[in-house]
Amino acid sequence: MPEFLARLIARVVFSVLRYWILHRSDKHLARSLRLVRRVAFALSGDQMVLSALTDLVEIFEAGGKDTELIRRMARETTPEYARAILRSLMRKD
Amino acid sequence: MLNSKIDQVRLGIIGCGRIADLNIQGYLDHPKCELVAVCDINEALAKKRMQEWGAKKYYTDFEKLCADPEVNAVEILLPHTLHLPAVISAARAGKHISLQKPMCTELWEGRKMVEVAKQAGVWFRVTENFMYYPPFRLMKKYLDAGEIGTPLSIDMRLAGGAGGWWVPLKTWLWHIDPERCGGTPAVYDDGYHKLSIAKFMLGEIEKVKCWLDFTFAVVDVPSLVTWKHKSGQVGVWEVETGVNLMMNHKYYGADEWVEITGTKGVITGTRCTSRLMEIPPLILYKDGQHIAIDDIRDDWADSFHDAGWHFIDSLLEGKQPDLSGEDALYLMKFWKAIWKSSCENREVSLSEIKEEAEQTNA
Repeated sequence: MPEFLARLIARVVFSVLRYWILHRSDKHLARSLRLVRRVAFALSGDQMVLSALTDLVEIFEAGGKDTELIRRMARETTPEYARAILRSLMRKD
Repeated sequence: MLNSKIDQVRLGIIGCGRIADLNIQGYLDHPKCELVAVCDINEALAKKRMQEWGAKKYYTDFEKLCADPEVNAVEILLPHTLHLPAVISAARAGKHISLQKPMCTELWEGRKMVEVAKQAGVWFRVTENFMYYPPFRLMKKYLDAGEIGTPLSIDMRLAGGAGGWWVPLKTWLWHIDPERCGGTPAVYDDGYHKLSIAKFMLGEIEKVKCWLDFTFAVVDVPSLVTWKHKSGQVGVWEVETGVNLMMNHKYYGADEWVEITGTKGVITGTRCTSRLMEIPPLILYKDGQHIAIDDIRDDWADSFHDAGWHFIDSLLEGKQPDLSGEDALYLMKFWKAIWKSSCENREVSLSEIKEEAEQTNA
């Protein structure tokens, strides 16, 4: 993922994303992420974005321990950490 | 079975995820090792690995791979909570076993693995690659040869940073979930390598005292682990992560530093997983001079390669591979002492760590 896009997502969307993760149900998040995936892929055409968001959709569809853990981490995260994580997740090397 | 040598290792790989890229290397180029089968719950991945590595067949159920009469040894690369059932299945089917570290989530599981392997008469090791990293092997040789005199202390650092190769998000999540990982991601999971190196270099541990802090609620950085070896030397391991510290890497975004000080010299290993600094992988200081050792294999993958060869060579010679089940249990106790010390904020002797009774639902 390009650096500017990671920075943009982390800084602008960060608060919204964290609010969603902490206050919405797994099913709701899975639905929203499917939409985000469609839009992000349409705009970027980036296979890595598609693949990483697909992983996230599947995780929220399944629910359980993985989403509990994501919420625990989301409570403590900062835009800087979020950007670093996104940068790692979007790699496909 | 333990006394009988085998002419050819016919290997099955159980678990084809990210780390298998490295673990497979020594097995693929050993002349006496044939890769018979691979197994992964993800069928597409199992098929892909079979083709990529030239295996004869694939399975999606490890019980079935273990029942395959053509296979005589297995490499188990599964999530930690599956280690016990996979080891039991392989041992009862008479396969020699190499299990990826860390051994288990609870000590009783490790004990059970050791007993099952012994009863079945198969060789069992819990592999960790750092002990086979060529600069660390050479460091140990210098140490044993007295190049730095009598060792006084070991100082290790783990620097985590940004980047690293791609690992599926689901894999990261179980790795950082204490319940599924069996401990913390840095000091327990990755730390197993460092604890192994400390024991490899300077022997058994008497006691530990440490401080584990947490980032993101579950990632145990920054942390500081200190210990004393039974032979008197002290050890310290500092664990930190710089979120914007870009690593020069091919693998994980982390790098290590190991330094041993002796009565007449110092020896330093400057890299392992990554290449934080482009300086020689091994530096020996003695008699007032620095000796840089850089004509040595120093890619992290070399350590996996050599760990694979060691397993195959041991089976061919009919002898116990290094890093036996008992050794692994010892490292698990080292970890448990660290955890206890952090929770209770006090010095903990390894002799305080007792094995729990086996749980009945095993």
